[in-house]
Amino acid sequence: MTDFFSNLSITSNGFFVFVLVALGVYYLVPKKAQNYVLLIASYLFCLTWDWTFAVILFASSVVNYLVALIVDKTNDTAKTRWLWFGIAADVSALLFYKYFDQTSIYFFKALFRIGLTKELLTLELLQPIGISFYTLQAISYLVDVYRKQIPVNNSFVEVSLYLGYFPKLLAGPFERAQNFFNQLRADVQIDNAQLIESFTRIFVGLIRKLTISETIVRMIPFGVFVEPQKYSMPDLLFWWLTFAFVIYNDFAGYTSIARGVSGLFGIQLPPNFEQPFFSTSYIDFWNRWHISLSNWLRDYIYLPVSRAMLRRNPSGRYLPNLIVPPLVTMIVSGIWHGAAPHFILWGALNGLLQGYERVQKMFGKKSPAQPPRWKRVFNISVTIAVLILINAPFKFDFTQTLAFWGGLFRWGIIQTLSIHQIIKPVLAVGLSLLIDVMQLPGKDELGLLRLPKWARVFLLTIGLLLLFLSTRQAAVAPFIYQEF
Amino acid sequence: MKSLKIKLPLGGALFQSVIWLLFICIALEAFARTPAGGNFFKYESYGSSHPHFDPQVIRIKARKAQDGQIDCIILGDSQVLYGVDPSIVEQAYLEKTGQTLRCQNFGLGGLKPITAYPLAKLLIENFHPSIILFGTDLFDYTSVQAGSDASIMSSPWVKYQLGDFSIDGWLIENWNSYRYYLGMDRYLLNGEENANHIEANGHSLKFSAKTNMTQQEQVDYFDNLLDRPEITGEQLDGLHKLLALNSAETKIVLFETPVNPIFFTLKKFAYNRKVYPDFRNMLENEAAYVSTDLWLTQESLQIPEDDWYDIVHLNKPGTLYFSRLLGEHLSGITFAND
Repeated sequence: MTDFFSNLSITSNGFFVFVLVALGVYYLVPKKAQNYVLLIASYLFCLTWDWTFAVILFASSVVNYLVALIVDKTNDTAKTRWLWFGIAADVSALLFYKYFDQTSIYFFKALFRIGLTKELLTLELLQPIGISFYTLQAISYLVDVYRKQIPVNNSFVEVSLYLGYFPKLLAGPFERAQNFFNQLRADVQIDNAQLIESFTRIFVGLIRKLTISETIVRMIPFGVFVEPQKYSMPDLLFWWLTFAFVIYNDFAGYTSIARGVSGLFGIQLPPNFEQPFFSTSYIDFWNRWHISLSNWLRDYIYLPVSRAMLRRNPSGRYLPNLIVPPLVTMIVSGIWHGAAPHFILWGALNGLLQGYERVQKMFGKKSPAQPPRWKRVFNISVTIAVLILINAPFKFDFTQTLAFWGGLFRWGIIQTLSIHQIIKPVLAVGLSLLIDVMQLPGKDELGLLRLPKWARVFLLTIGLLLLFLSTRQAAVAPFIYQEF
Repeated sequence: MKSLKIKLPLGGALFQSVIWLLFICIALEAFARTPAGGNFFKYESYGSSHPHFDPQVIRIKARKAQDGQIDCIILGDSQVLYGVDPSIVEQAYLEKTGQTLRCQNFGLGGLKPITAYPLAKLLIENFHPSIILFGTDLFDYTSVQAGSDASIMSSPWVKYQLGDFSIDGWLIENWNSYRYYLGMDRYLLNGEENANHIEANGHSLKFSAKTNMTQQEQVDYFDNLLDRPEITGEQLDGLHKLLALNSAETKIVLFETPVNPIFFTLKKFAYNRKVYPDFRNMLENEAAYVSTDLWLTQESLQIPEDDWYDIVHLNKPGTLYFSRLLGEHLSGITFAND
């Protein structure tokens, strides 16, 4: 029983029992107590991982709640000082729990090399679940209150829920404070139509995670991503391409389930993906991939950097104004993903690509607003191919990245691509694209609901069968973004 | 503030899908149970990743379906799988006693006593043999649990058979189509796993000639492969429990699976020179404790040099020789078949 409710992942049976109980209590208690129920459920969820995580989340909630109140009440100079205090407190916690062990290892390795230490010391800190996500949300709340974009919230329960609301605690999506607070206070009657939407999101999310992502993960040969130098170009290319669909479906699946579960409580969370593999440019891709993080980075990094640059030189054709803001933004994104140098390289490469595209748009030949179909397909293919290649440092460290890129120029014996090995990954990728095509018209997870009834029944039947078979497998791998 | 206003969605797409799903599952199962279905679905699995487990279960079930009864199951690791031919055992037994005996080899590479015990329990409950011959050697007692044991015990079917209910275990036991699905899934993961070398009686013909490795290479190979020779409590406990299954209906008999004397030149033996005599004493004590038979072969048999595939496994002539002796030895044991 204890195992059933320990480290609740949102695809576990325990989680769905937990949600059912929480829903039951939520709709039974008087309306005024509903937010308290959500808060208690969120902390219970956190406790299933580790009690210290709940304490850290609570401390963060208290600090940000109080700092926001003070920022709202004080005059200009003190206000700025308190804002920076709040941001420093949030960032310090993140640096300590997420980055200390990651970065200290480089420091101790350097000491080790010059003989100043004989062992690589780490504090072996457990990274609190969701800390990367609720820290950014806390900062955005403080900044929004500071800028007077939103009124300060006097309810500690609402602020705590904003940071710790369990459907989005593990890996987002990032929600805007005011939007979330408004929903906590709104009168909503959940009817069958809303339930169907929520269950559709959960169903699609489970298919993405369990049937697509997990199926591919199990088929990827162990050595390919561990020693890429031992494999030839076709092996590396095929598995790397399929791995792109693992990351996508893993994260899009998580978001879809989180949004579906939240919808059952009458709270709509923002979307995170908009069929990113149909992007026609690099900027377009980042507007479709992890949208809530992209929006956060745009509002709190990109735009302030851009404004600062424009204050120095207001010309829109000045090259640094075009290149530096996306470069800085994507490097920050890289560091947010992890403190290792390869994440910085990953961010820098993506930032440079976006900068290149902005320069090209500014100085290059103008393309028609509606390019012909072949041009769109060509643009999509080139964009995705380039992005998939330059995203190697997202998965590999420096040495492995170089080995991987080197391997792409090595035509050797194909070791891992026999027919039986590629059938499941190819079918899984096909299913992923089919879901994207269905979702394209509405740009959400509800494409299934727009089909005629016979098609819905057909796809649901196949989907339920696939889902049942997928859940028969061994333990499900944790969500990739949960690790961030 | 939120409130609910819902009604049961009977007649909706989900309801219809569930009905269709049930219909498809039943239709698939009906097809899987026909001879045509059996031929169509080429692969079958009982949910273990062990390379010999699925073929052995399929063969023993087929044998029971064909013969109605299995009298004797020979259980053990690869030395049993490759080195005991049940047809020779049956023949020798018939010549000595005039009675027929239906013997099945259930050898699984890497099997150790800690896993042999639950497997023996499972085999007794499913196939009711009169006798189980457990082939064992010193290195079966050297580590807590090897990977191959884990791959057997992770099978939901094995767990289900041992009383640990799960949907998978139930489906594997009762739904042919699910076993075929698992078989296909396994094929897609591992490719064609040729189990044709395992005969219908469970004996493998794979080691019929002689390995290409020199004896020194083999000594080095096994020195790297095996743990240091010592008898661990966990494995001893496994043997103890296995022997406790000895009953009037099913006799449990121990026999020592022989190795080439060169095997004792492994550097690993330097840790403890007395380990082999200790092992032999341990077997004698355990067998005596439950009043069952033990056949010690290492020092009593002089197996010719040409009869070894490698320093651990017998080849075809060796298997013929050893299986005949095992059959003759069996004729001297009293069990429910008599």
